[in-house]
Amino acid sequence: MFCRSELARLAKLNPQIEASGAQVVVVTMGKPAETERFCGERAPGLRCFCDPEAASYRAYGLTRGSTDQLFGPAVWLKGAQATLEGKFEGLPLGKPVGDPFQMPGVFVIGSDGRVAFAYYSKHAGDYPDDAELLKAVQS
Amino acid sequence: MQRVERPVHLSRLQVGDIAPNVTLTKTTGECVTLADLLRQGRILLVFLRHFG
Repeated sequence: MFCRSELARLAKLNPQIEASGAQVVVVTMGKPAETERFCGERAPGLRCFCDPEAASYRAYGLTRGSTDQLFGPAVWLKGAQATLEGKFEGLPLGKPVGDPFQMPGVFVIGSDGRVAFAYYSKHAGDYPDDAELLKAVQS
Repeated sequence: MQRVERPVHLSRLQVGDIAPNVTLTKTTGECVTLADLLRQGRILLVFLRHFG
């Protein structure tokens, strides 16, 4: 469920991110057609790429989460907060695409090819907030 | 005997590390590397969870 909220947020922030000279690259575990449909519906304009085998996730040190990271109280709390703030994008529909245990993450890669920012989510609904994200891409 | 899956420990990247030059697939089916994308400027790289 959080992937939809995150994609919608990135689409909203994209003009500011692009204005800072950075580009958003979204990676999903879907196949090309699935990713095209999902991103096209949720965030037209964002560039989405596919990695059904999740090899790039592993290369960036993103692990499969524990039950607590995926279904624990912090995840439910985040979902409840998103609902109260009107940001909840709805429950998943249909069969999940990709490994449901795979943890997400956010990185900024500088034009020198080095990691400028690395965020490893503590649980399934944990992403850097807007201010932290914009600060990371603008630095 | 029950098979026990060992947790996989992957090393986390730190600020300043060289970013792994991964290959991704475009929604059109063509492959692209991170180095190709970097030619267009720095990248906010977001790995999403599963979707459905």
